[in-house]
Amino acid sequence: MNFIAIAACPTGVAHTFMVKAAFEKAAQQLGHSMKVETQGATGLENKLTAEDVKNADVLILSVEVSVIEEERFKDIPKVNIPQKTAIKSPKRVLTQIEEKFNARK
Amino acid sequence: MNIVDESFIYLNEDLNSREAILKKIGKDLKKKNRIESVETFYQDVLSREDEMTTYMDNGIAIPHCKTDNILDSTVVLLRNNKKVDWNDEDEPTDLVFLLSIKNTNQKDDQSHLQVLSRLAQNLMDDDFMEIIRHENDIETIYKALKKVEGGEAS
Repeated sequence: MNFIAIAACPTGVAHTFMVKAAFEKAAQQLGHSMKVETQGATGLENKLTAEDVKNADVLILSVEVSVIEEERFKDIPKVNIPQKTAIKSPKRVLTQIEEKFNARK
Repeated sequence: MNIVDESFIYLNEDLNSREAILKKIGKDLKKKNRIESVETFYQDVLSREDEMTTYMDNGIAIPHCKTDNILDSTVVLLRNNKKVDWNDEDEPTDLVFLLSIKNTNQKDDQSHLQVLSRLAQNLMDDDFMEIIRHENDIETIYKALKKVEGGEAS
């Protein structure tokens, strides 16, 4: 599957980047594509483009604060995942989303 | 000042509570002039915990705060000999990976944030965590942290 994700947390230094690493690693292991935008203390990094959004199947929001430029994502299915869950079991998160996604088709 | 400093790697502590751990770290940060006030540091870290616990998994917590009380950013690794309660809903903790983050609004002064975020990212790396969790040689741990600080992923 083609995942995109946004990670953001109150301090914008620790959890945001742990979520990014967790999703990237899990996607690689499961053979999915994954691009994670971080909205952290250093601003928007690895920013999701209109092209990224168009090509993606689903957007994962793993955020504990509000999303910047949310209007970019109005047309894509979204799943909210708490950061603790993303960090603890990223593979299970991706697999569950995939199952739901396939069941809907 | 370096974010990674050997004197902030503790491998053999006998502390009895979350408070004792955070105050010990605070006192040492103060001694090295990396923070202004120990009490403010302690309160700032706790208020971040109240917002959302920084307990992760497997006895590991990653407390952090980013305030004006912090004069220079520091990463602290503390392994305690016994587990202490972290937050009520969490499992007890014996490994603390603390990020003390200097507040800055200047765009040209953000390199420390990149180093700290790289360190956080590496907490998801199995090889890195193996070193942080089990290695008993401070020098080896220091080198692993330094490698991340220098921009190399482990």
